[in-house]
Amino acid sequence: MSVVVEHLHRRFGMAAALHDVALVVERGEFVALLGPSGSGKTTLLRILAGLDRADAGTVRIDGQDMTDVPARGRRIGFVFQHYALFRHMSVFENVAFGLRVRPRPPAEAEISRRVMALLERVQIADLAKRRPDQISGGQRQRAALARALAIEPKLLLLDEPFGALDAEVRKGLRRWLRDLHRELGLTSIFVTHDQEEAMELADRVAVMRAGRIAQYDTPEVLMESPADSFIAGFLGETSRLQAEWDGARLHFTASPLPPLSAPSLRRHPGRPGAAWAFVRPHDWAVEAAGEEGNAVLRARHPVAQGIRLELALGGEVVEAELPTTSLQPGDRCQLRVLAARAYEAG
Amino acid sequence: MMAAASTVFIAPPVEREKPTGAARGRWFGLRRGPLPGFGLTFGLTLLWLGLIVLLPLAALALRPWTLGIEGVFRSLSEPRVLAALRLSFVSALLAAALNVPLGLLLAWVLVRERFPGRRLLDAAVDLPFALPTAVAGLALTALYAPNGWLGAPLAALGWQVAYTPWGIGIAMMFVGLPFIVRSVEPVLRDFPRDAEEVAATLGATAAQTMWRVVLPALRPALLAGFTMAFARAVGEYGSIIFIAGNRPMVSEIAPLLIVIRLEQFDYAGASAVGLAMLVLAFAILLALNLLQRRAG
Repeated sequence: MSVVVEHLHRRFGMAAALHDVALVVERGEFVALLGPSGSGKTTLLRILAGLDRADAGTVRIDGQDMTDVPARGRRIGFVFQHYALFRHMSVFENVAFGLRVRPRPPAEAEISRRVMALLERVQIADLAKRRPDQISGGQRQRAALARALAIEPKLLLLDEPFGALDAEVRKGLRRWLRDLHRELGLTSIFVTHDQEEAMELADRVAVMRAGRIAQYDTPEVLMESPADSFIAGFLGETSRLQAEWDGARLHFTASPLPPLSAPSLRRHPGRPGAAWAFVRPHDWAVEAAGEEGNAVLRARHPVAQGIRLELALGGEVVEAELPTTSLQPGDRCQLRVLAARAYEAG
Repeated sequence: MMAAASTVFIAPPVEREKPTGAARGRWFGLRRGPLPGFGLTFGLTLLWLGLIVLLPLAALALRPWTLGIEGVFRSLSEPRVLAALRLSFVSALLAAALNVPLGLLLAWVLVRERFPGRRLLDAAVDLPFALPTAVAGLALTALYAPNGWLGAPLAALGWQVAYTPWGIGIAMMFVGLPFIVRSVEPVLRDFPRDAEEVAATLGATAAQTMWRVVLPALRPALLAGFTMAFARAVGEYGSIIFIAGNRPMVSEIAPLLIVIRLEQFDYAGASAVGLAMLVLAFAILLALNLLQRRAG
């Protein structure tokens, strides 16, 4: 079950929702479409499902051009952001729907057997008789998933699958979904704006911006070498600083920081000129200092790996993380950048 | 919950969210809402209902018995009365039933389609509410009379509408249509589009989606619209008497019979017919309400 998307274009009125999008998803892969809202990720998902049409370009699934195949002929499972459960039906009937609408539906006993097996699979068998408004958000999510799986889909598409759930439920469901994907040997694509979620779940992540795929790589490659300043800023909790690259050193133009030489840069711009520098929280050196310190600690709070510091540096606020520190809010300190990535501005 | 989630790898605990009801007092065993003043509002409601609805109805229920029980039954069992009651109720039920698909279609077009003149059409739907019923009756009669725009071609086909029960049905459909449209419209507008889309991804055809997903969701609204359209049609007088022709035993509706008896100073006989209509209408509305409760 492979998906090949080529030269896909879609406009809504004047705005381009998708512009020359290409994407290849291999059989068995779990792929995330990651991007801010309005980046076109949901539009791409809807076109894959046949719920929307592309203006130009092709979608091929297992080599077959899907342009003229309607949604109901695609056998693609689609889980909506707000689940879209049928409100007047029980959970059981929701899951049975895909079986009942077949040209030749299976016998009632067979439907019952398969629905209950699916409900067992998603661990809500005891809720079969409930209506969607009588179960919690996480349970609805499972019911929607069971309903999508009932048609034995070749491809599973999920639109913001955890968007409407609270943090704790979300984390549990994430792992569970990844395991389910593997066990069933599905090919899955999901949309999210949460980069942590994309990194944790996906084999590959397509970062989308303004209707284009900005970078499509494994989470490791994305984190280590973001292709441009947008992706570097979007991934990881980085501080962004104005800078100038002179070919050998990076000068910080808006912050009172010493320049960085090329070896300290994980990436530097191709040509000299205005640049953006991205610094991750671990890549700061923070030392206590007297009146001459270049930064002031604004706030501190504990995180799993140590202490997160919020520092005022010149006119900007940056975030740093240290294993431990005795600095208190209001203290002056000396900040240095240990490592950064720099991209041409613009 | 955290511990369970980390130990049971594939099975995060099934979370239950229960609404926690705020502590509320009880008053005569009734559950009280969060707003104060229940006693006052409930009292006013009862007083209002009593003065405006129950008192006149009680008078209507008491008046015919001056004829004695036998007199009431004799008065009601006249063939002319039975024919009028049957005509009124059967045509009202049929008109309301025919209005259901028509009103649904109209509501669908108004909610789902965008076309020039949509707002005009939307406003026109309410006209039967606003128009004096006599005006509507005259217009319908002129239209469907054997020499009218629609009546003439229909008469040529051998189908006379005006001055027959068909005309009564048409007038009843005219006054009842807005009830269906206006009760379905908001529900249809709120109906999530993604429910239809998900049905398509699950392999449903458009007809299956309509039948299994959309219509069941609209059923309570359709039933409510049907109920109101029926109630309006059964009590309708002004627009019907012009087009009906009012021939006893053929096209004479029960409300007209009441007026005729009043004009003959037969007050008890008039209220006997009124009482019969009241009882029948109440029974039907009660049944429809129970149906609604089950559907909702």
